Amino acid sequence: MTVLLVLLGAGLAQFLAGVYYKKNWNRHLSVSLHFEESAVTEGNRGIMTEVIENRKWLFLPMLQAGFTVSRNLNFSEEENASVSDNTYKRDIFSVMSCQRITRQVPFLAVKRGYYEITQAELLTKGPLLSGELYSTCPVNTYLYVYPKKERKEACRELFQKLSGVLEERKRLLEDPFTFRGIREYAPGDPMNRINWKASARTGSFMVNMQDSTTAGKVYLLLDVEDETIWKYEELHEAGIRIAAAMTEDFLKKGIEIGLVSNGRDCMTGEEIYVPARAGKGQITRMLQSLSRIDLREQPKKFSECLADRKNSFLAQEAFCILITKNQYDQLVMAMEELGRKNGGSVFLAALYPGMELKVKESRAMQVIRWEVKE
Amino acid sequence: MRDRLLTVYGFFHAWMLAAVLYFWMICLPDSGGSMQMLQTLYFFIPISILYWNREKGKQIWSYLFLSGIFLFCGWFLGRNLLEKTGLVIFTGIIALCYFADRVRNVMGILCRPEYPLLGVFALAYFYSLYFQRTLLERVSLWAAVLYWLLLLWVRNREALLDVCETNQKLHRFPQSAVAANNRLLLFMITFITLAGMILLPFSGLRQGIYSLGRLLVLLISWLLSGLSSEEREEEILPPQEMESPFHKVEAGEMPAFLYMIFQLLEKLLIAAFLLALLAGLVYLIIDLYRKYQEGRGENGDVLEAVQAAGNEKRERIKPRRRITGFLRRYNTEEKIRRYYRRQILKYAKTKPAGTETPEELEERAGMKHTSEKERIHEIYEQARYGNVPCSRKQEQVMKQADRVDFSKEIV
Repeated sequence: MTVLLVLLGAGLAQFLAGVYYKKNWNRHLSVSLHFEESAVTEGNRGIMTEVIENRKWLFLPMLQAGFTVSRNLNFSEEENASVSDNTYKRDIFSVMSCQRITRQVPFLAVKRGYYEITQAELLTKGPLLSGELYSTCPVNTYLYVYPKKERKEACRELFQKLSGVLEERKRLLEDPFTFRGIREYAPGDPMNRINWKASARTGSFMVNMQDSTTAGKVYLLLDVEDETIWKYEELHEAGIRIAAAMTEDFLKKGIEIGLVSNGRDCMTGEEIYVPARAGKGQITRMLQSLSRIDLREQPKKFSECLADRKNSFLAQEAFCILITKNQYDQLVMAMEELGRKNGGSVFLAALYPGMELKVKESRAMQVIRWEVKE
Repeated sequence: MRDRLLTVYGFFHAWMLAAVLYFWMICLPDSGGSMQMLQTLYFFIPISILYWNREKGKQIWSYLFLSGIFLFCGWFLGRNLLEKTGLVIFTGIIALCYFADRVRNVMGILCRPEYPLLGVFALAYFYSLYFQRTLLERVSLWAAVLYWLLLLWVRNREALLDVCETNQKLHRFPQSAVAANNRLLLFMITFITLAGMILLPFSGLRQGIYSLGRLLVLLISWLLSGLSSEEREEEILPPQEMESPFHKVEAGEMPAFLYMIFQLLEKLLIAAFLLALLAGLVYLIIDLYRKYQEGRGENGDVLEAVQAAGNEKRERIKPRRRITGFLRRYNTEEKIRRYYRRQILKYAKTKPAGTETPEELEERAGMKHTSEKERIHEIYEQARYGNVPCSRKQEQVMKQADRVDFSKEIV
């Protein structure tokens, strides 16, 4: 009888220990994942931090923490990631009682986008490393991968052209009631502009400079529609990169800039619209919106988007720069109209070298070709 | 090559089996002595050497040669015919088992402990009880305890090796930390298992079971033929209870129930004290280990000690169902709801899901639109959702609704 009680006692003790372990292993156990920076640029590296915290006396000899993230965030093979439709990453920790473990994992941001991790999966073994116990832990972290910066030389040329167009627009639409400054007389300046008092003081003719009537707002119109069944993702990505580069350049010069696109926001599913503003926060807003454009979603025809927003552009006297690969008539006519009424517009065609540029330049609309290597 | 620790565990397993079976055999005619117990140590030698030869030896002749030597040594070691026979038989069994394993290239019965083999020790124990072999009883009991622990350690070791093998290619896999923490947890589980092994037999459970059985017999006999005289009460008292501070001075003073409860409380207090002592020891060990481990970053991980979480506040989310019946009667609203439910179930063809509104319930039950139905509908809604309490009159109306046939439209 004693031997039976001994064995029964042993079995019961082990069973109760197992039950206690199963019920309490994930109490006061937290997993947090966060990216060191909230945004990185396409092609750059980032660091993700995993923190496992065990705030109880019961320790876990083996704890596996795993999560799923888009395959566009590339963890090297060393970092325990397997890639299929997504990247599945798992790490194993051995957590003592009342201990926090912090692990930093580098990754490469391969593609522009918005990436979220919402859940971490926890797996551990039973008290004698037998059996498996599973749990999930909600995690809330995200990362923006901004579009890659375009080549400086190519961008410089483009920005010079655009600056020229903007300056010309300002000169054409001067406001006689605003005073910007005084400069030396140049041949061709009208006589009624001469500032006689300044001329008397300096001894040479000086003329007044008037400010522009235009508000100085610029809107980037980003068209990511594919008219035919062929998908030109590379061209659209190039357009997004140009838009990002233009945003940085204009905001550096203090020009208010906004964004309108028929691309769908990956979070809300709505079309992208960022009102024109200047300032520090605007560049973040613009880059985040460009990152969230989901090219897999079917966009609306851009001429319809333009028609919806035309009145707003006219009211704000905004200078519109269209970035597109499409060249259909409705689009060209809409841009020409905007150019006529707002003192100019730009039609920037992002094309492969073999593609023909059919759009003709006019007084109201400047046409620029941006070649994208295949 | 098999893991070294598992190999050693295998040796112990094979030795314990051979030793207990040999000693059992020696105890068949009469009780064995300590000399025969010491003789069982001999089995370690053929087990270890034959195993080594099985793993490393290239020629089968070396194995057979060594087996022959050990058989001869076994015969030589025995003092009488029984001992000689026993030593030779079990040495032969060991050699045969290893030989079969070598031929089949598997890990056989002598290499790994299994739970069914505990039956060997249990049978030896029962034999010793029946034939009053005291030494064999103790040996088989201790062997059962050690064998259970061995099973625990072997299972754990195999699981650890499995985990390490599966994950060894994983980048930054903390193999040494996993092994160390596993060792600590195994240590704790072993303690807990030993505690269970000690507490249960000495907890008085056996006496308790016997006492319960006697009480049951007493109760049944009392029910059948009435309470008897002191003779029956004297039968209930076990002899060791006379030494207890709670023992009865004379028959009839303290009922056996109370006595048993006091006995149980005494044992529970002792158990609680021992468990508290054990918990304190375990906590001390873990604290020391944690302090030792603190700050030692493995594989680039940063390790920090944190405060234990405080007492958490727990709130019951689901409302507790009110106990009704003898202890608490239904109030008016509850009665109205019960009557309404009865009506619905009377007419409904299928049981409601519980998520329907009263309107939906009545429609699905096929209750016709009559003034009576509207009336009970209103009363029910007031009882179920309203803030105004219902009256007894409304309760009576609902109760009387049982007499109305709602399946017919009264014109």
